[in-house]
Amino acid sequence: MAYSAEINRRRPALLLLMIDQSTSMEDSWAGIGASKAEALAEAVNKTLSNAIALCSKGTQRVYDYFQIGVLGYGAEISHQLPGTRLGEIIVSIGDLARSPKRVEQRTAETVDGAGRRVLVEQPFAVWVDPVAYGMTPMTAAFRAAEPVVASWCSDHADSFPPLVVNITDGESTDGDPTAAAERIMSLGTNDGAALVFNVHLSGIQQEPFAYPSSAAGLPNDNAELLFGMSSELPPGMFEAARGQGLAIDTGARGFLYNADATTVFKFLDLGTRAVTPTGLKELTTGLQALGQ
Amino acid sequence: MTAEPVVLANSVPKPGEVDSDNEDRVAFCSGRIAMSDGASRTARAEVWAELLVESFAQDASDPLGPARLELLRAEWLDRVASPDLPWYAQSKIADGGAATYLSVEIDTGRARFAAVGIGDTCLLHVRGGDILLAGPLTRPDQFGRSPALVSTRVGDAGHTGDRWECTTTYKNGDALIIATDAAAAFLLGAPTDALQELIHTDVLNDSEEYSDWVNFARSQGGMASDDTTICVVRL
Repeated sequence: MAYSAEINRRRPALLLLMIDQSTSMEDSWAGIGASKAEALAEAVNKTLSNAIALCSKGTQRVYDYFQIGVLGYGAEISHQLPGTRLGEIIVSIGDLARSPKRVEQRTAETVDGAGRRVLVEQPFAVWVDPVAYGMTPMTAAFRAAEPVVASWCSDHADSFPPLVVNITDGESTDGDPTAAAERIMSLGTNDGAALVFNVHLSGIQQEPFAYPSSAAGLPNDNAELLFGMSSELPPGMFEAARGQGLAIDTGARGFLYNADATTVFKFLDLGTRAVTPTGLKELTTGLQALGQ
Repeated sequence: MTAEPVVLANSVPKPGEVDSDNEDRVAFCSGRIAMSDGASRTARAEVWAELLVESFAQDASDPLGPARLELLRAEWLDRVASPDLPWYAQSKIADGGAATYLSVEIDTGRARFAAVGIGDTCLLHVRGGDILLAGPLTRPDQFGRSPALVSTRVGDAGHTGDRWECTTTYKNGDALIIATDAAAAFLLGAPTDALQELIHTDVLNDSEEYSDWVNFARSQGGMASDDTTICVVRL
């Protein structure tokens, strides 16, 4: 059965994030005070930290269950993770843990063992800083991702297929990216075709569309275009999305339109859990932090 | 008065992993036996599992007693925390560790035993190959991915509502099997022969034989590929 490969250190998975860094990302994100660029960088950094926590047991060691790349596109197409160079976009989750740009100490509210709300100091690692400058060369970004995915698939033929998540607040300014995205979807491993998901961020409060199964009712041509180049959720992710309380239909695609910050964070969380051994199973049983 | 029980135990890690990755722990001393399965998605669960079983077996002190539990939590933090650890390890440790727990105290003078369990590490009381009693879980379909756990978080009493207890008598020739979840689920659905093999042969005395037994159960019997620990007490 496709999309069922066991994820382990011998057969890691791949998560590739593509982040829009165009000038419009400077505008505020619906429902929050920060700009889209700031809030997205925050969501990506938090997602990466959570992913590392899924692969850590509280020692120096990080279990290399998956590999990750972050590609920014705006004034230029650039690798966002420290230490990566052109041609070396992908790092292991262990290398990622060991190489944040900086680790900030932040105060956060949490619940202690006795159920009381308390403020605690927590480390917050930063790999990606907000950037908002330039056009939206989405097609070039997909073209840059294609050889990375192709090379990875060739080296990891028995792994869970790569997951590519494109996050944007607008329309491509360098032509229709569909063909480039479809070339990535035509790649894959013995376990299935590479997955391409798309997330559109909204600058104003508008009706959101999450995991639609058809283009009917989508508000404009750009939404239909992004929907058309989004893969269907594989069964494990479909069940996990339902486990998050989402009412989604058969054929639901990895696509958000007019998404708010919370929805995007949950979407990214779903993606990182999909590439860790038991991440999705925790969602399907309601188990969050604890599990065997 | 009954004979002194004979206790045999063995454990193997998940496929592809090594002994140091194994987060199950078992300890026994003078009729006191405890087993714990560290929750692998939590921090330093193997250290927590070890503290729980040693407290019961070696120190003869109930680890679930509120005062003792807080002492053990402090001991866990002392063992695992260090300012030299990287940020991600410190962050993980702040979220805490967790483990299942099962203990059995045997009173040979009155031919009785008392068991306490939290989670899916299970006890089976066996006579002539038949399971007379099992707990905390009694059927294979009760095993899931979110068992009750004892947490390292200070003040956490979430496990108290899941506490299973049992006190009963036994006869000479009976046996107790204590097992972590994969083996427990398998044994609760296994034929009499499988139970008798564990009880009456030297499978548990020889690590190679035990490993073969586990591999066979995984490949032919559908046993889950998890850390697998079994303890047999011949009464």
